[in-house]
Amino acid sequence: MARNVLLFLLAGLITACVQYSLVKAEKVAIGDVYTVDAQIAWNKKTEGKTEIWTVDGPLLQELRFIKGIEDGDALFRSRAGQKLPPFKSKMTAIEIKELFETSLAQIGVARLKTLNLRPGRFGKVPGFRFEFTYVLKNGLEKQGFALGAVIDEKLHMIIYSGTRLHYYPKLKDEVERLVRSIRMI
Amino acid sequence: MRAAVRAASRRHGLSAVLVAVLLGSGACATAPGDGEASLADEGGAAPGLIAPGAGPGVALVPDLGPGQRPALATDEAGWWMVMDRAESKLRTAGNLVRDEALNRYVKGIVCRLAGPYCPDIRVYLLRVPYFNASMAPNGVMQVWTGLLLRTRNEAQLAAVLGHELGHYLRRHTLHRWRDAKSTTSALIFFQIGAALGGVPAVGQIARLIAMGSITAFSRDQERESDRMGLRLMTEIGYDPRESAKLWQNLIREDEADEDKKARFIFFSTHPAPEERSETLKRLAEVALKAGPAVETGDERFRDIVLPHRQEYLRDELRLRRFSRFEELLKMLVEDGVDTGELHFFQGELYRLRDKKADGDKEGDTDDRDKALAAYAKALGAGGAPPEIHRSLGLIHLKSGQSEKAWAAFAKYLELKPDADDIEIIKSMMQPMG
Repeated sequence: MARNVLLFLLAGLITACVQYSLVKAEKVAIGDVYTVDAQIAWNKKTEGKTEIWTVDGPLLQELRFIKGIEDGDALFRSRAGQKLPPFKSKMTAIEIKELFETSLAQIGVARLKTLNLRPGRFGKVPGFRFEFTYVLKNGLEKQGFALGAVIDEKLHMIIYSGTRLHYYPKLKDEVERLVRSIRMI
Repeated sequence: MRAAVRAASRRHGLSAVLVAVLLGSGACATAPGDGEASLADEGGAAPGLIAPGAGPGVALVPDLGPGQRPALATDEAGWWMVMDRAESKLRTAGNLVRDEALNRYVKGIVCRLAGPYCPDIRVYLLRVPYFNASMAPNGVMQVWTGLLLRTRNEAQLAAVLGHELGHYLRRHTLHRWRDAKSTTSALIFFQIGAALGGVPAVGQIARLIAMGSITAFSRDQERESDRMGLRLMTEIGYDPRESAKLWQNLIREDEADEDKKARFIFFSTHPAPEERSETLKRLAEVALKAGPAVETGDERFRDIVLPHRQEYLRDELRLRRFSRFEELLKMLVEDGVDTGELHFFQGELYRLRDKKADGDKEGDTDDRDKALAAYAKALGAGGAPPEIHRSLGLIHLKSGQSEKAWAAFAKYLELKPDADDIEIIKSMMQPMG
């Protein structure tokens, strides 16, 4: 009996850890600000104001939707002991890119490079876009790009990243189509 | 207890680093009068027996000989095996520094210090913005770039490297392990390794190797390594007084940290660093009497390490440990080497901190004003990167001074016409006309 209870609790714990749900290949609302057209099915989990989508697993590739963080919020969820820098609503694109760099440095990635910061459209809203590369502590190389805009003083970002050799290129075109399909609600 | 230490250290990563620093580079309060002892008392020229670090009931362990590997059936061979495995992963670590000249330089110093043991030591430079070096029992030495930023010359670097070699030559890990087992305090052995858990950019492998080396070396072992390091550096002609100077600088940086709690673990679990600094000073005087060792190797150090300083300063800036970084920059400015670059980073620090003045302190100014003053100094001194003008533009923009911002951005684009953020800068300039 005790063993069954233990197994039940264990099963509960496991399912509690993995909170992914299916995103169908259709028009999907990201919060109440915009929609995107997904051409393929994704797995989704939510972390506060962020949605993380993946097909092959978050360590291999992830598509991250940061849904309107406000003044004082961090870009990423911090682990115990980390003090990630806050977003400020008056930040320029250059400073948001710095925020991204500082946040990743605090998390502890190596050889981070951000490249080609330039204007980019977030749906019909003028925003910015840049590419980046970094290396994990175990030597795995990652690549990605970020698209963002400050809308009503809240920062919206879409960050796509994956392992440089296979999983980033694998869905790059799909993600490019997806960000082109942004429609403001 | 281990979990508690880990949790505490994550809250205060800074202090965890200092704990590591103190253990890794020798952190012992030495009882008054110890400094009077001769350097040859411990770590003498002839390989002897370890006495000072031995606990009750622990067999004395002879020093490691050049090229010596432990016998397979021993606990020491077990430690080596774990470290060998970890080392194979360290070779492909993402933050391994691959710059050839820098690697050759640090390995060269280690080799000169290690003499016949040189082939037994493998040095791994890691891009981690904290002051630390560590030595694993199988001859793996880690040196972090935060250390290269804080040592001012070759002699100071040699002091730390010599200290680490002392742990290896004297087989401190093995000694401590046997001591811990015999006193049923094996858990304590791992405490400091756990404390490293709070340091970002330190992979599991780096941590594992660090555990094999800096985990809770005893105060006596640290003292012994201090003396050994001082002896090794003096023997090859470095000024031993640089060792205490390095230590004093670290104390000054630590004391500047606004997060007093961050220093709590360090000061509560380790001997006062001031005492250690004093001891090192006394030992240096003893060493100087024995031979005229006066070289600091300033020029070589600057030629090889200084070209990388900007990268290491940027790493430090991104950690946002502002009060500590402010003090470090102040000290480096006092040294007077390439101050333009340093003033630029002072400006960057204030621009990113962007703290408003309290208004109740005399002479208190906003960080924006401090940043502008630092940038002005940087431009006066020369040597700041073109990005200084972009930073000036950002500050002027925040202060609503669009004409000044426009001029600064234009200057940035003039100096760096191939800047990869040229399009965004131009788009920002458009509304300004």
